[in-house]
Amino acid sequence: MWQIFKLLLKNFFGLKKSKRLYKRIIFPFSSVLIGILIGYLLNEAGDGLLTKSSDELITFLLTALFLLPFLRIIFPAYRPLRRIVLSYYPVSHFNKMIINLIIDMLSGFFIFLFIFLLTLSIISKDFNIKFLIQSYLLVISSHLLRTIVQNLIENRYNLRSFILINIMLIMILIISLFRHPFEPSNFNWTLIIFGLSVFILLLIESTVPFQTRSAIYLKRLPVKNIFWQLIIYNKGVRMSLIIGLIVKIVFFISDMLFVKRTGRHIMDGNLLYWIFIAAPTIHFSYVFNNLWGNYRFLWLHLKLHFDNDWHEYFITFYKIIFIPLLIDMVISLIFLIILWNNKVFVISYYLLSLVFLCCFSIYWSFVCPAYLTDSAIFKIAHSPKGNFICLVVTGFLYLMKINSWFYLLAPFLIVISVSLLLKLRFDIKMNKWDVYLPLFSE
Amino acid sequence: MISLTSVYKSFNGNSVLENIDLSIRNDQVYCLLGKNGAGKTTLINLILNLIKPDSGMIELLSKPNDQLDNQNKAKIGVLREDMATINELTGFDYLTLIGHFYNMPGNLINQKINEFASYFLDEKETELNNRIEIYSFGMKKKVALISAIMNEPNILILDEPFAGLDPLSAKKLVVYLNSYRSPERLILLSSHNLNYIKQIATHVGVIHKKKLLFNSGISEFPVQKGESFEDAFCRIIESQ
Repeated sequence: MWQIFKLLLKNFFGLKKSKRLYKRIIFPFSSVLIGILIGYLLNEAGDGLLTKSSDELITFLLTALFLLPFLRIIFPAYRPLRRIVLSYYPVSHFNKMIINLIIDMLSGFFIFLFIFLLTLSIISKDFNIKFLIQSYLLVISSHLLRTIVQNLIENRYNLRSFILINIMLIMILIISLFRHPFEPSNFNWTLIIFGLSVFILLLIESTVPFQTRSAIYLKRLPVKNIFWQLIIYNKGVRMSLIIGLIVKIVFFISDMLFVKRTGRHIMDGNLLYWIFIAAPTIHFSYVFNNLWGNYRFLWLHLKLHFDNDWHEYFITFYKIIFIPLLIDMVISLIFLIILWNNKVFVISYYLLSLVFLCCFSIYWSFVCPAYLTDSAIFKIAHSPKGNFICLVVTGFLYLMKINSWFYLLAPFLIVISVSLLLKLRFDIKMNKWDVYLPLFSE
Repeated sequence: MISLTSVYKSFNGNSVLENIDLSIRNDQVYCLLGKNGAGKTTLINLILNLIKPDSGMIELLSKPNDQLDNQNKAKIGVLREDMATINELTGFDYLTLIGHFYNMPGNLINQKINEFASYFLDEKETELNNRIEIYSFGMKKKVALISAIMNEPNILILDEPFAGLDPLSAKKLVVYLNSYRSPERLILLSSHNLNYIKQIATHVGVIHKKKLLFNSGISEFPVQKGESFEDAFCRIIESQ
């Protein structure tokens, strides 16, 4: 195990890749800086200079530390579980779990989190060694819970194990809600949550799943439409779209509840909410901006059979994205109902962003295709420039809410979108973009 | 007809193929031989206009390969080494889609699928109704092969067609390819299985050290007395 630890450390701090410079300098520096700032904030709270007490701030901090690693399950994207130590290696279940945990804890995210907490405990008078241990236990528990939930998502276990795992997960939820393990005085409950998480993961490690969820999918759903099949049976695309749609539904429902309770909307003044939730941007950033990366053999057949015939590429592209967008549109009707008073803006915002994204995505799929390996399927980073352009343009449309004059952006945006399609049509005829090498030189 | 004139290709400044001149006529079964990484697949990709040569001219059906229209393209069938099957679809749906790409009428597609499936597959109905993702390597290969030949193209390009096939299926393929030969058709294939090549090839080309080392009829392949085809191939490669 020590050898693995050494190898990982060497890999992390190795000087092989210059692009890791930011990891070694900027991120640790930022972690230390944020630790110092929050440390001073806690000291001021301890001296009674803030409206909140230091205990309240530490509770808030511990809650955030517990939620942060768990939320990485969907933000920035869902990533399938990594199985480093597979079941056929002669390693005990406990060691397997520990090795996987060490590997995860030596990733950048957790190292910087640790640097931040260490700095905080040095600077702050109130955040002592006990809180440092408590906070790190919560971080590890949260990460273990994420692993457990992902195991349940990706694998299918026998009924007894499944029930047992879920009972214990419910226990953790109840403890989290009613026993406040995030309060500095409730260290014992933090320990119990940590112990339960370790126990559930050990149970999972020792239980052999009898099927993976993807294997179940392969035999169900007798769907006839070829393009619908392409969506449903492509694991990466399916998961990305489902997660995108679930995020939207959760936010819409949360907003409805928030309005009932406070009379205000979550999205009031929140640009990110509008970009990611109100518009269909999330599906484009996950999948459609790099559609050929998800269906490289389909592109290859189109190339072999039609080569410079733009018509076939366009038809195939839009047939694939049509059904997911239709579902998104239906779900977005909830949003329209929530903001019925602003219906003109909501409809304009949604439709304009849809027009631009539809035109841009096919263009970008040709300009910047990237082959997606299994481990990279859920990364948004495969099309960073394209996604950034989408975010900026969708963000600009929000100006229509601020001032009605910005509705003049609409014809301008439509012209740009159509121009993109015309340019792509010309580029395909001229065989301008090299799609083959990025997709096939693995 | 396939024609390559002074074709040169490099990747990131490293040349892969240099000064390739090759002409494959109709009625020929031309087999590309060479070690792993010799550039056989690159040559096929160049012919298919999937990658551009740095210099040189490539023609298919007497036209530059980047100026073929859809009707020309319908005369070309391809089996790639990676098979290029669309795993999300069932075998039947995949072949139907490819049939539509070839602009074949629906009833002809069904007829051809049935015809080839009954020849190459054992239990065609159940196998073709499963999703390709769960197929074995050999089964995927057979489906990809059917997709390449279902339109009975004039130019058939097969990259490693025997790899992954069981001996029975490989033998069936040999029989099929021999029967497929005609004065209007051309078959270009690459393979490491010299035993099968001997049975079908009319012409052979050996790619080694970026060059087309040997390019002639199979009867002129320099097999010495008491030497097998494999031995002769190894000798040619090792002597360079």
